Amino acid sequence: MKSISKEEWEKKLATVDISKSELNKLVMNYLVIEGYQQAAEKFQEESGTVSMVDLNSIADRMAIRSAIQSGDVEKGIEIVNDLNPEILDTNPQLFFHLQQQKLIELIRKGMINEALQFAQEELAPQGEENNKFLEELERTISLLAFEDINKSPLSSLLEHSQRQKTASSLNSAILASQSQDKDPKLPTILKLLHWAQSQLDTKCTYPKIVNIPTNFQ
Amino acid sequence: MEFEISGSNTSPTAATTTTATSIASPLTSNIYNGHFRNKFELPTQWNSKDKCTHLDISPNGLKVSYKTSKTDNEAGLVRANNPIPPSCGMFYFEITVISKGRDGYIGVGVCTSNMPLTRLPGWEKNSYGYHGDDGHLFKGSGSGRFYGPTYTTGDTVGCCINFVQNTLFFTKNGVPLGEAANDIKNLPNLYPCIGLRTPGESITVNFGQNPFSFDIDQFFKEEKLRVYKTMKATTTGDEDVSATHLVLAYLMHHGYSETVKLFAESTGIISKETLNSQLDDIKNRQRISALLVQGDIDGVMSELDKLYPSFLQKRKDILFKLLSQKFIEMIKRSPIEEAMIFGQTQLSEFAEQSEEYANILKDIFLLIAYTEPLECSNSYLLTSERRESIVNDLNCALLIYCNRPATPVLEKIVRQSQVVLDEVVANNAGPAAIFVNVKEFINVDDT
Repeated sequence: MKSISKEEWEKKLATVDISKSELNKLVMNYLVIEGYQQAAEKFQEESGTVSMVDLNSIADRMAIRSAIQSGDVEKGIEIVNDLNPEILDTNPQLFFHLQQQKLIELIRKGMINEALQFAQEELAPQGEENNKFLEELERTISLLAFEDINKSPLSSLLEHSQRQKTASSLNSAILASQSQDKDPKLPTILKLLHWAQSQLDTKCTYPKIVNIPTNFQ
Repeated sequence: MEFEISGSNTSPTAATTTTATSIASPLTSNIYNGHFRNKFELPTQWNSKDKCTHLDISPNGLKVSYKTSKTDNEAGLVRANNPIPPSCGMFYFEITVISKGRDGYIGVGVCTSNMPLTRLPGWEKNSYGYHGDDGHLFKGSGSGRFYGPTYTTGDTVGCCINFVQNTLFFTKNGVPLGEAANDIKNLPNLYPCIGLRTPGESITVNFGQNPFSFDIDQFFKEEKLRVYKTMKATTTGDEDVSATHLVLAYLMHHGYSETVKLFAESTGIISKETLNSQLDDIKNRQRISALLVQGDIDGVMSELDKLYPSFLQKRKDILFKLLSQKFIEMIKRSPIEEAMIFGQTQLSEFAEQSEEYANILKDIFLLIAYTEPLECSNSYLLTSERRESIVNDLNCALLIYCNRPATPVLEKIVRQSQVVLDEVVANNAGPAAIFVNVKEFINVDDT
């Protein structure tokens, strides 16, 4: 197997054409997409790196996320519509999932009558237009057939991950409406490194990066 | 003549001309070519030493013709000068039929180096061929199957090999004809090849020196997106946590102290004490840098002694840089006698330590000889860039002294990623790495 020495490797690393401003851009991308608004604003000031998105929109995204993750779907929808009403208007599937989440929250709270009324008035009309929606609606409503909904085979709908899923798809839709990637690039570069190193391992030995820090050293 | 795909048999714009250049559509192939050229030994022409005697190759190595001979109807094959390296990810070439000759028994495709030269592409094991007279596809066997339209004089036929997907397909006049094979994996050294069988048959090849009639760029882009998708789907599970730490360490390294504060607080990944000591460290380094930029070397050295005792003893190289800078600053500001005394007492001993120091000192001392140092040939020593380069060196040395990496780990990872990708390509360790470029990934907003 071919072996590349440390000196040779260091030389190769030094020739990679990457500037500080490009690295700053990578960091800004991370701060913006992960929603660190204040840090992003300060970083813009301290480093002169300009963000491609309006940093104010980060706050809205984070508020929406926390509203949905705490079960307040109504508030989440309200902020999205203030931000840009087209996001839900042009995305019936997302709108349906939000309404479904609202129904789940009503069932969770044991507000059976409200849940049924909401399902009939708001969700059933959407189900009539789309078979998949109807299936999902029936699945959700069937939670009510169990006295202890936590014992229902559909109890996964009640898990926190369901809220996170809904919150993430809404976050992605907002980012998409702002022409933003929904994943920050930095974790992808870490995946890329892992992916590429495992290929090179089959042909060479070289100074491999094995431990990417997961704590502050 | 089994069937025709409607619309695919239309002649290209200048079907009767005889060179690939003039029949090509205006499509360019910058993306495709940009990824390939200069990285590999690729097929660039037919190999006149690796051909059947029935065939003639033009002097430029691009045109192949079947000679009239006694052994009519015996197939003749020629391979390209180089095999296709799988780490090029995807390879495409086109041939144009100059003349179908007597019967147009023309076959184009790929084969390995041991394929006999008296057979048409596809007839033997480890070869694939698309034949013009019947539009059949041959895969390692003398009997073909329906694949595409026939092709004849004036037609351009392309062959694309995708090493990521292990697939192969042909095109006719710029139209892709669908997957022809999905089992090209593990075939070593595939060569583009062409086979002719009756007198007068003649073709010319385009190995990328001219624009193609098929839009290979679009195809290349699609494969690239697929590769990114595959790559994103791999996970070690720790990327998100690691990313947070890498960002924090990066911000600290470059001294963005206010950002560090806000980011550390909202992520909560380090303790208050660690944060504060880090912030102090950043402020110290920034204060020292500021003094250096102003040319206050005494200030720098007294701060260093106070904050990082024994640093200057350990790093004589930095000490030398600072002292020689002090000498330069004195020449700019102080009476020349003072500068001279300083040079003699503090600097000259360094000259004995290494030739490098001696040479630098020689240049610096020369400044004294001029009454107008700014106009002498060594005046570059007096610029502010010299101070800034020392700032950089000092900063790195201090980080190392404090057991921190001289390059932020985030930067190291970005550099490492690109070098590994390049090495994967160079060492033929995988067909997909060619599609990925770290710099482009950082700069392009739509990947």
